[in-house]
Amino acid sequence: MRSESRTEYWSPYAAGAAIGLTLLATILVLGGGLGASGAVARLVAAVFHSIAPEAAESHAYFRTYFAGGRSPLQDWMLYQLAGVFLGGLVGALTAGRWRPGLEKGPTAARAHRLVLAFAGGTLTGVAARLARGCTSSQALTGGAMLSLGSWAFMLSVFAGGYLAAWFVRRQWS
Amino acid sequence: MNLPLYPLGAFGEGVGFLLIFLFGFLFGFFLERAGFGSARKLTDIFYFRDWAVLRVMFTAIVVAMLGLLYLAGVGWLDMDGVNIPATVLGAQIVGGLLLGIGFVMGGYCPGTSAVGAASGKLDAVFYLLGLVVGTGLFGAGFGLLEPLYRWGEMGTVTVPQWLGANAGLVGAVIVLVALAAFLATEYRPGGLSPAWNVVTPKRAGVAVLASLAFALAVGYAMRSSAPVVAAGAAPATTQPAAVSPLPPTATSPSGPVASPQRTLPVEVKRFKKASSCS
Repeated sequence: MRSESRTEYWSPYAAGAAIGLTLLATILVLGGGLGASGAVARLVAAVFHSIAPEAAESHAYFRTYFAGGRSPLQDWMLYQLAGVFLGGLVGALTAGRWRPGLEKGPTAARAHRLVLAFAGGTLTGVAARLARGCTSSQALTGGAMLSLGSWAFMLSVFAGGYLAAWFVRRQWS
Repeated sequence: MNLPLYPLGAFGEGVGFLLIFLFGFLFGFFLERAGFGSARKLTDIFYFRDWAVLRVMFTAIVVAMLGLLYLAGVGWLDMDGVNIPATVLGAQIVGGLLLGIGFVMGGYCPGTSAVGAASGKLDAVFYLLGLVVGTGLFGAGFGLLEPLYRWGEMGTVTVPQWLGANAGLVGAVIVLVALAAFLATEYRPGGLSPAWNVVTPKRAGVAVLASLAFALAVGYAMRSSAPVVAAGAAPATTQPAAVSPLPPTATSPSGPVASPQRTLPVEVKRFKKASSCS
Protein backbone atom coordinates (compact mmCIF):
# COMPACT_ATOMS: atom_id res chain seq x y z
CA MET A 1 0.00 0.00 0.00
CA ARG A 2 1.55 3.21 -1.10
CA SER A 3 1.61 5.74 1.62
CA GLU A 4 -0.76 8.61 1.11
CA SER A 5 0.19 11.99 2.40
CA ARG A 6 -3.06 12.81 4.09
CA THR A 7 -1.82 16.20 5.20
CA GLU A 8 -2.64 17.49 1.73
CA TYR A 9 -6.30 16.91 2.36
CA TRP A 10 -8.31 19.77 3.77
CA SER A 11 -9.76 19.55 7.24
CA PRO A 12 -13.01 17.59 6.86
CA TYR A 13 -14.88 20.49 8.40
CA ALA A 14 -13.44 22.95 5.89
CA ALA A 15 -14.17 20.64 2.97
CA GLY A 16 -17.64 19.94 4.37
CA ALA A 17 -18.39 23.65 4.72
CA ALA A 18 -17.20 24.25 1.14
CA ILE A 19 -19.43 21.44 -0.14
CA GLY A 20 -22.32 22.73 1.97
CA LEU A 21 -21.97 26.25 0.54
CA THR A 22 -21.78 24.82 -2.99
CA LEU A 23 -24.93 22.83 -2.32
CA LEU A 24 -26.68 25.87 -0.86
CA ALA A 25 -25.70 28.00 -3.85
CA THR A 26 -26.95 25.32 -6.23
CA ILE A 27 -30.33 25.21 -4.51
CA LEU A 28 -30.65 29.00 -4.30
CA VAL A 29 -29.74 29.48 -7.95
CA LEU A 30 -31.33 26.45 -9.60
CA GLY A 31 -33.96 25.24 -7.15
CA GLY A 32 -32.51 21.74 -7.00
CA GLY A 33 -29.40 20.22 -5.54
CA LEU A 34 -26.45 18.07 -6.42
CA GLY A 35 -26.65 14.57 -7.82
CA ALA A 36 -24.64 11.94 -9.64
CA SER A 37 -26.45 8.65 -10.22
CA GLY A 38 -29.22 10.30 -12.23
CA ALA A 39 -26.69 11.23 -14.91
CA VAL A 40 -25.67 7.57 -15.28
CA ALA A 41 -29.33 6.60 -15.63
CA ARG A 42 -29.78 9.18 -18.39
CA LEU A 43 -26.71 7.92 -20.20
CA VAL A 44 -28.05 4.37 -20.03
CA ALA A 45 -31.43 5.58 -21.30
CA ALA A 46 -29.74 7.39 -24.19
CA VAL A 47 -27.68 4.35 -25.18
CA PHE A 48 -30.80 2.18 -24.97
CA HIS A 49 -32.59 4.69 -27.19
CA SER A 50 -29.84 4.71 -29.80
CA ILE A 51 -30.07 0.93 -30.07
CA ALA A 52 -33.84 0.48 -29.89
CA PRO A 53 -35.72 3.79 -29.96
CA GLU A 54 -39.24 2.41 -29.73
CA ALA A 55 -38.45 -0.06 -26.99
CA ALA A 56 -36.75 2.68 -24.97
CA GLU A 57 -39.60 5.16 -25.36
CA SER A 58 -42.18 2.59 -24.30
CA HIS A 59 -40.09 0.97 -21.57
CA ALA A 60 -41.89 0.90 -18.23
CA TYR A 61 -39.02 2.62 -16.40
CA PHE A 62 -36.87 4.41 -18.95
CA ARG A 63 -39.76 6.12 -20.74
CA THR A 64 -39.82 8.77 -18.01
CA TYR A 65 -36.50 10.02 -19.38
CA PHE A 66 -38.03 10.73 -22.78
CA ALA A 67 -41.02 12.72 -21.52
CA GLY A 68 -41.88 15.65 -23.75
CA GLY A 69 -39.85 14.30 -26.65
CA ARG A 70 -36.56 15.52 -25.19
CA SER A 71 -33.34 13.62 -25.25
CA PRO A 72 -32.32 12.38 -21.81
CA LEU A 73 -28.96 13.99 -22.50
CA GLN A 74 -30.58 17.44 -22.51
CA ASP A 75 -30.57 17.46 -18.78
CA TRP A 76 -28.72 19.28 -16.06
CA MET A 77 -27.53 16.11 -14.34
CA LEU A 78 -25.13 15.30 -17.16
CA TYR A 79 -23.67 18.79 -17.24
CA GLN A 80 -23.21 18.49 -13.54
CA LEU A 81 -21.51 15.10 -13.64
CA ALA A 82 -19.17 16.44 -16.32
CA GLY A 83 -18.39 19.28 -13.91
CA VAL A 84 -17.78 16.88 -11.02
CA PHE A 85 -15.41 14.87 -13.19
CA LEU A 86 -13.49 17.94 -14.33
CA GLY A 87 -13.43 19.40 -10.82
CA GLY A 88 -12.08 16.12 -9.47
CA LEU A 89 -9.45 16.03 -12.22
CA VAL A 90 -8.31 19.59 -11.55
CA GLY A 91 -8.32 18.86 -7.82
CA ALA A 92 -6.21 15.73 -8.20
CA LEU A 93 -3.76 17.38 -10.60
CA THR A 94 -3.24 20.50 -8.50
CA ALA A 95 -2.73 18.40 -5.38
CA GLY A 96 -0.25 16.12 -7.11
CA ARG A 97 -2.55 13.21 -6.44
CA TRP A 98 -3.25 12.14 -10.03
CA ARG A 99 -1.81 8.65 -10.43
CA PRO A 100 -3.06 5.80 -12.57
CA GLY A 101 -3.57 2.71 -10.43
CA LEU A 102 -5.92 1.31 -7.89
CA GLU A 103 -6.21 1.18 -4.15
CA LYS A 104 -6.20 -2.10 -2.27
CA GLY A 105 -4.74 -3.71 0.81
CA PRO A 106 -1.06 -4.73 0.68
CA THR A 107 -1.77 -8.46 0.34
CA ALA A 108 -5.10 -8.37 -1.50
CA ALA A 109 -5.08 -9.32 -5.17
CA ARG A 110 -5.83 -6.66 -7.78
CA ALA A 111 -8.55 -8.85 -9.28
CA HIS A 112 -10.16 -9.21 -5.85
CA ARG A 113 -10.42 -5.45 -5.49
CA LEU A 114 -11.61 -4.90 -9.05
CA VAL A 115 -14.30 -7.58 -8.84
CA LEU A 116 -15.61 -6.04 -5.62
CA ALA A 117 -15.51 -2.54 -7.14
CA PHE A 118 -17.53 -3.73 -10.13
CA ALA A 119 -19.98 -5.73 -8.00
CA GLY A 120 -20.39 -2.82 -5.58
CA GLY A 121 -21.04 -0.48 -8.48
CA THR A 122 -23.62 -2.85 -9.93
CA LEU A 123 -25.45 -3.16 -6.63
CA THR A 124 -25.33 0.61 -6.21
CA GLY A 125 -26.72 1.08 -9.71
CA VAL A 126 -29.80 -0.93 -8.78
CA ALA A 127 -30.05 0.64 -5.32
CA ALA A 128 -29.81 4.23 -6.56
CA ARG A 129 -32.70 3.72 -9.01
CA LEU A 130 -34.74 2.08 -6.27
CA ALA A 131 -34.07 4.91 -3.83
CA ARG A 132 -34.42 7.60 -6.53
CA GLY A 133 -30.95 8.94 -5.97
CA CYS A 134 -27.64 8.40 -4.26
CA THR A 135 -25.51 9.90 -1.56
CA SER A 136 -25.39 13.26 -3.37
CA SER A 137 -29.00 13.78 -4.39
CA GLN A 138 -30.69 12.03 -1.48
CA ALA A 139 -28.43 12.06 1.56
CA LEU A 140 -26.75 15.42 0.96
CA THR A 141 -29.34 17.44 -0.94
CA GLY A 142 -32.51 15.87 0.45
CA GLY A 143 -30.91 15.79 3.88
CA ALA A 144 -30.31 19.54 3.84
CA MET A 145 -33.90 20.06 2.67
CA LEU A 146 -35.04 17.85 5.59
CA SER A 147 -36.84 15.37 3.32
CA LEU A 148 -38.07 12.46 5.42
CA GLY A 149 -37.18 9.82 2.81
CA SER A 150 -33.71 11.28 2.37
CA TRP A 151 -32.97 10.97 6.07
CA ALA A 152 -34.31 7.41 6.13
CA PHE A 153 -32.12 6.70 3.10
CA MET A 154 -29.02 8.20 4.70
CA LEU A 155 -29.38 6.21 7.92
CA SER A 156 -29.99 3.06 5.86
CA VAL A 157 -26.81 3.66 3.83
CA PHE A 158 -24.73 3.77 7.00
CA ALA A 159 -26.56 0.73 8.39
CA GLY A 160 -25.93 -1.24 5.18
CA GLY A 161 -22.29 -0.22 5.11
CA TYR A 162 -21.61 -1.25 8.69
CA LEU A 163 -23.53 -4.53 8.23
CA ALA A 164 -21.53 -5.52 5.15
CA ALA A 165 -18.10 -4.11 6.10
CA TRP A 166 -16.85 -7.27 7.80
CA PHE A 167 -17.59 -9.43 4.77
CA VAL A 168 -15.57 -7.35 2.34
CA ARG A 169 -12.72 -6.36 4.66
CA ARG A 170 -10.10 -8.52 2.94
CA GLN A 171 -9.72 -6.15 -0.01
CA TRP A 172 -8.00 -3.78 2.42
CA SER A 173 -5.85 -6.39 4.17
CA MET B 1 -34.68 38.77 -3.05
CA ASN B 2 -36.39 36.19 -5.23
CA LEU B 3 -34.81 32.84 -4.59
CA PRO B 4 -34.41 30.28 -6.02
CA LEU B 5 -33.47 32.18 -9.16
CA TYR B 6 -34.09 29.72 -11.99
CA PRO B 7 -37.49 28.42 -10.90
CA LEU B 8 -38.66 32.02 -10.55
CA GLY B 9 -37.58 32.78 -14.09
CA ALA B 10 -34.38 34.75 -13.57
CA PHE B 11 -32.62 33.12 -16.52
CA GLY B 12 -33.07 30.48 -19.19
CA GLU B 13 -32.10 26.89 -19.53
CA GLY B 14 -28.80 27.46 -21.36
CA VAL B 15 -27.47 29.61 -18.54
CA GLY B 16 -28.75 26.96 -16.14
CA PHE B 17 -26.69 24.27 -17.86
CA LEU B 18 -23.58 26.42 -17.61
CA LEU B 19 -24.21 27.17 -13.93
CA ILE B 20 -24.87 23.56 -12.99
CA PHE B 21 -21.64 22.62 -14.71
CA LEU B 22 -19.80 25.19 -12.58
CA PHE B 23 -21.46 23.99 -9.36
CA GLY B 24 -20.60 20.42 -10.35
CA PHE B 25 -17.01 21.50 -10.89
CA LEU B 26 -16.84 23.00 -7.40
CA PHE B 27 -18.50 19.90 -5.92
CA GLY B 28 -15.95 17.61 -7.59
CA PHE B 29 -13.04 19.83 -6.58
CA PHE B 30 -14.09 20.00 -2.94
CA LEU B 31 -14.79 16.25 -2.85
CA GLU B 32 -11.25 15.70 -4.07
CA ARG B 33 -9.86 18.07 -1.44
CA ALA B 34 -11.81 16.18 1.22
CA GLY B 35 -9.94 13.05 0.12
CA PHE B 36 -13.03 11.46 -1.38
CA GLY B 37 -11.32 10.38 -4.58
CA SER B 38 -9.87 7.60 -2.44
CA ALA B 39 -11.91 4.44 -1.84
CA ARG B 40 -9.72 3.62 1.11
CA LYS B 41 -10.44 6.90 2.86
CA LEU B 42 -14.15 6.67 2.06
CA THR B 43 -14.59 3.16 3.44
CA ASP B 44 -12.38 3.72 6.49
CA ILE B 45 -15.46 5.02 8.29
CA PHE B 46 -16.95 1.51 8.16
CA TYR B 47 -13.88 0.12 9.92
CA PHE B 48 -13.74 2.88 12.55
CA ARG B 49 -10.42 4.18 11.22
CA ASP B 50 -11.31 7.58 9.79
CA TRP B 51 -14.39 9.70 10.44
CA ALA B 52 -13.93 12.05 7.46
CA VAL B 53 -17.11 10.86 5.70
CA LEU B 54 -19.24 11.60 8.75
CA ARG B 55 -17.57 14.97 9.37
CA VAL B 56 -17.71 16.17 5.77
CA MET B 57 -21.28 14.99 5.17
CA PHE B 58 -22.71 16.36 8.37
CA THR B 59 -20.89 19.67 8.05
CA ALA B 60 -22.17 20.04 4.48
CA ILE B 61 -25.73 19.14 5.43
CA VAL B 62 -25.74 21.44 8.44
CA VAL B 63 -24.31 24.39 6.50
CA ALA B 64 -26.75 24.04 3.60
CA MET B 65 -29.69 23.33 5.92
CA LEU B 66 -29.00 26.38 8.09
CA GLY B 67 -28.75 28.52 4.96
CA LEU B 68 -32.10 27.25 3.68
CA LEU B 69 -33.82 27.64 7.04
CA TYR B 70 -32.55 31.18 7.58
CA LEU B 71 -33.21 32.39 4.03
CA ALA B 72 -36.69 30.89 4.01
CA GLY B 73 -37.21 32.26 7.51
CA VAL B 74 -36.57 35.86 6.46
CA GLY B 75 -38.64 35.32 3.32
CA TRP B 76 -35.92 35.62 0.67
CA LEU B 77 -36.26 32.01 -0.40
CA ASP B 78 -39.53 30.55 -1.59
CA MET B 79 -39.47 26.89 -0.64
CA ASP B 80 -42.19 26.24 -3.23
CA GLY B 81 -39.54 26.71 -5.88
CA VAL B 82 -37.21 24.20 -4.24
CA ASN B 83 -37.42 20.66 -5.52
CA ILE B 84 -37.50 18.60 -2.33
CA PRO B 85 -37.03 14.89 -3.08
CA ALA B 86 -40.28 13.00 -2.60
CA THR B 87 -40.45 10.30 0.05
CA VAL B 88 -41.00 6.65 -0.84
CA LEU B 89 -40.11 5.30 2.55
CA GLY B 90 -39.93 1.55 1.91
CA ALA B 91 -38.06 1.85 -1.37
CA GLN B 92 -35.64 4.36 0.12
CA ILE B 93 -34.88 2.25 3.18
CA VAL B 94 -34.27 -0.87 1.08
CA GLY B 95 -32.39 1.16 -1.54
CA GLY B 96 -30.32 2.80 1.18
CA LEU B 97 -29.36 -0.53 2.73
CA LEU B 98 -28.35 -1.92 -0.67
CA LEU B 99 -26.47 1.24 -1.57
CA GLY B 100 -24.61 1.08 1.73
CA ILE B 101 -23.57 -2.51 0.98
CA GLY B 102 -22.53 -1.48 -2.54
CA PHE B 103 -20.61 1.45 -1.07
CA VAL B 104 -18.50 -0.63 1.29
CA MET B 105 -17.99 -3.35 -1.36
CA GLY B 106 -17.13 -1.02 -4.20
CA GLY B 107 -15.37 1.61 -2.11
CA TYR B 108 -17.24 4.54 -3.62
CA CYS B 109 -20.62 6.10 -4.04
CA PRO B 110 -21.63 7.41 -7.48
CA GLY B 111 -20.40 11.01 -7.09
CA THR B 112 -17.11 10.08 -5.45
CA SER B 113 -16.44 7.37 -8.06
CA ALA B 114 -16.41 10.11 -10.70
CA VAL B 115 -13.78 11.92 -8.63
CA GLY B 116 -11.86 8.67 -8.15
CA ALA B 117 -11.92 7.94 -11.87
CA ALA B 118 -10.79 11.50 -12.56
CA SER B 119 -7.88 10.90 -10.16
CA GLY B 120 -6.76 7.94 -12.27
CA LYS B 121 -8.16 5.12 -10.12
CA LEU B 122 -8.94 1.95 -12.03
CA ASP B 123 -11.19 0.61 -9.28
CA ALA B 124 -13.35 3.72 -9.64
CA VAL B 125 -13.67 3.05 -13.37
CA PHE B 126 -14.80 -0.51 -12.61
CA TYR B 127 -17.28 0.86 -10.09
CA LEU B 128 -18.67 3.27 -12.71
CA LEU B 129 -19.01 0.41 -15.21
CA GLY B 130 -20.89 -1.51 -12.52
CA LEU B 131 -23.19 1.49 -12.03
CA VAL B 132 -24.09 1.41 -15.71
CA VAL B 133 -24.74 -2.34 -15.58
CA GLY B 134 -26.77 -2.04 -12.38
CA THR B 135 -28.89 0.74 -13.84
CA GLY B 136 -29.56 -1.47 -16.87
CA LEU B 137 -30.41 -4.41 -14.62
CA PHE B 138 -32.85 -2.27 -12.69
CA GLY B 139 -34.53 -1.28 -15.94
CA ALA B 140 -34.60 -4.87 -17.17
CA GLY B 141 -36.11 -6.12 -13.93
CA PHE B 142 -38.43 -3.17 -13.41
CA GLY B 143 -41.52 -5.34 -13.86
CA LEU B 144 -40.49 -7.40 -10.86
CA LEU B 145 -39.12 -4.49 -8.85
CA GLU B 146 -41.97 -2.05 -9.38
CA PRO B 147 -43.94 -2.97 -6.23
CA LEU B 148 -40.77 -2.43 -4.19
CA TYR B 149 -40.03 0.78 -6.13
CA ARG B 150 -43.42 2.18 -5.09
CA TRP B 151 -43.42 0.81 -1.56
CA GLY B 152 -44.29 3.54 0.90
CA GLU B 153 -45.01 6.45 -1.46
CA MET B 154 -45.77 9.47 0.69
CA GLY B 155 -45.26 12.42 -1.63
CA THR B 156 -43.09 15.30 -0.49
CA VAL B 157 -42.79 15.03 3.27
CA THR B 158 -40.22 16.74 5.45
CA VAL B 159 -39.03 15.50 8.82
CA PRO B 160 -40.70 18.45 10.63
CA GLN B 161 -43.97 17.74 8.86
CA TRP B 162 -43.76 14.07 9.71
CA LEU B 163 -43.03 14.80 13.35
CA GLY B 164 -45.53 17.62 13.48
CA ALA B 165 -42.68 19.72 14.83
CA ASN B 166 -41.27 23.13 14.15
CA ALA B 167 -38.72 23.19 11.29
CA GLY B 168 -36.37 25.48 13.20
CA LEU B 169 -36.43 23.18 16.18
CA VAL B 170 -35.71 20.11 14.02
CA GLY B 171 -32.85 22.02 12.36
CA ALA B 172 -31.45 23.02 15.74
CA VAL B 173 -31.59 19.42 16.98
CA ILE B 174 -29.77 18.24 13.83
CA VAL B 175 -27.02 20.80 14.40
CA LEU B 176 -26.62 19.72 18.00
CA VAL B 177 -26.56 16.02 17.05
CA ALA B 178 -23.91 16.77 14.41
CA LEU B 179 -21.83 18.70 16.96
CA ALA B 180 -22.14 15.84 19.43
CA ALA B 181 -21.01 13.39 16.72
CA PHE B 182 -18.02 15.60 15.87
CA LEU B 183 -16.99 15.89 19.51
CA ALA B 184 -17.48 12.17 20.12
CA THR B 185 -15.28 11.20 17.17
CA GLU B 186 -12.65 13.83 18.04
CA TYR B 187 -12.47 12.74 21.63
CA ARG B 188 -9.25 11.20 22.81
CA PRO B 189 -8.75 10.25 26.46
CA GLY B 190 -7.30 13.33 28.08
CA GLY B 191 -7.42 15.21 24.79
CA LEU B 192 -10.20 17.72 24.87
CA SER B 193 -10.43 18.66 28.50
CA PRO B 194 -7.54 20.81 29.73
CA ALA B 195 -7.16 23.47 27.07
CA TRP B 196 -10.73 24.56 26.47
CA ASN B 197 -9.71 28.14 27.18
CA VAL B 198 -7.76 28.24 23.91
CA VAL B 199 -9.73 29.41 20.90
CA THR B 200 -9.06 27.17 17.92
CA PRO B 201 -10.86 27.20 14.57
CA LYS B 202 -12.71 24.04 15.53
CA ARG B 203 -13.91 25.43 18.82
CA ALA B 204 -14.93 28.67 17.17
CA GLY B 205 -16.84 26.61 14.61
CA VAL B 206 -18.58 24.66 17.33
CA ALA B 207 -19.55 27.90 19.06
CA VAL B 208 -20.85 29.49 15.85
CA LEU B 209 -22.91 26.46 14.88
CA ALA B 210 -24.28 26.04 18.36
CA SER B 211 -25.38 29.68 18.55
CA LEU B 212 -26.91 29.53 15.06
CA ALA B 213 -28.85 26.47 16.10
CA PHE B 214 -29.97 28.18 19.28
CA ALA B 215 -31.05 31.31 17.42
CA LEU B 216 -32.93 29.19 14.92
CA ALA B 217 -34.79 27.27 17.58
CA VAL B 218 -35.71 30.42 19.48
CA GLY B 219 -36.69 32.32 16.33
CA TYR B 220 -38.97 29.64 15.04
CA ALA B 221 -40.42 28.90 18.43
CA MET B 222 -41.33 32.56 18.87
CA ARG B 223 -42.89 32.72 15.44
CA SER B 224 -45.06 29.66 15.79
CA SER B 225 -46.36 30.82 19.15
CA ALA B 226 -46.94 34.36 17.93
CA PRO B 227 -50.50 35.55 17.33
CA VAL B 228 -51.67 35.26 13.74
CA VAL B 229 -50.52 38.72 12.77
CA ALA B 230 -50.92 38.58 9.05
CA ALA B 231 -53.98 36.44 8.69
CA GLY B 232 -56.21 38.20 6.25
CA ALA B 233 -54.05 41.30 6.38
CA ALA B 234 -53.13 43.16 3.23
CA PRO B 235 -50.29 41.54 1.29
CA ALA B 236 -48.51 44.87 1.51
CA THR B 237 -47.39 43.98 5.04
CA THR B 238 -43.79 43.46 4.27
CA GLN B 239 -42.61 42.48 7.67
CA PRO B 240 -40.07 39.85 6.88
CA ALA B 241 -40.99 37.90 9.96
CA ALA B 242 -44.49 37.30 8.68
CA VAL B 243 -43.55 35.89 5.32
CA SER B 244 -43.57 32.23 4.46
CA PRO B 245 -42.48 30.01 7.27
CA LEU B 246 -40.42 27.05 6.39
CA PRO B 247 -40.77 23.84 4.53
CA PRO B 248 -44.31 23.97 3.41
CA THR B 249 -45.71 25.16 6.72
CA ALA B 250 -46.17 21.68 8.13
CA THR B 251 -48.79 21.25 10.77
CA SER B 252 -47.76 24.39 12.56
CA PRO B 253 -50.68 25.74 14.54
CA SER B 254 -50.24 29.14 12.93
CA GLY B 255 -50.24 27.68 9.45
CA PRO B 256 -52.58 30.22 7.87
CA VAL B 257 -50.04 32.98 8.42
CA ALA B 258 -48.21 32.25 5.26
CA SER B 259 -50.73 31.32 2.67
CA PRO B 260 -52.25 34.67 1.72
CA GLN B 261 -48.88 36.17 0.89
CA ARG B 262 -47.39 33.30 -1.04
CA THR B 263 -47.55 34.41 -4.60
CA LEU B 264 -45.10 33.24 -7.17
CA PRO B 265 -44.47 35.97 -9.73
CA VAL B 266 -43.94 33.50 -12.52
CA GLU B 267 -44.88 29.97 -13.15
CA VAL B 268 -42.37 27.79 -11.34
CA LYS B 269 -40.03 26.03 -13.71
CA ARG B 270 -38.40 22.80 -12.77
CA PHE B 271 -35.08 21.56 -13.94
CA LYS B 272 -35.87 18.10 -12.78
CA LYS B 273 -39.14 16.39 -13.28
CA ALA B 274 -40.82 16.30 -9.94
CA SER B 275 -41.52 12.61 -10.16
CA SER B 276 -39.12 9.76 -10.19
CA CYS B 277 -35.96 11.13 -11.72
CA SER B 278 -33.23 12.08 -9.39
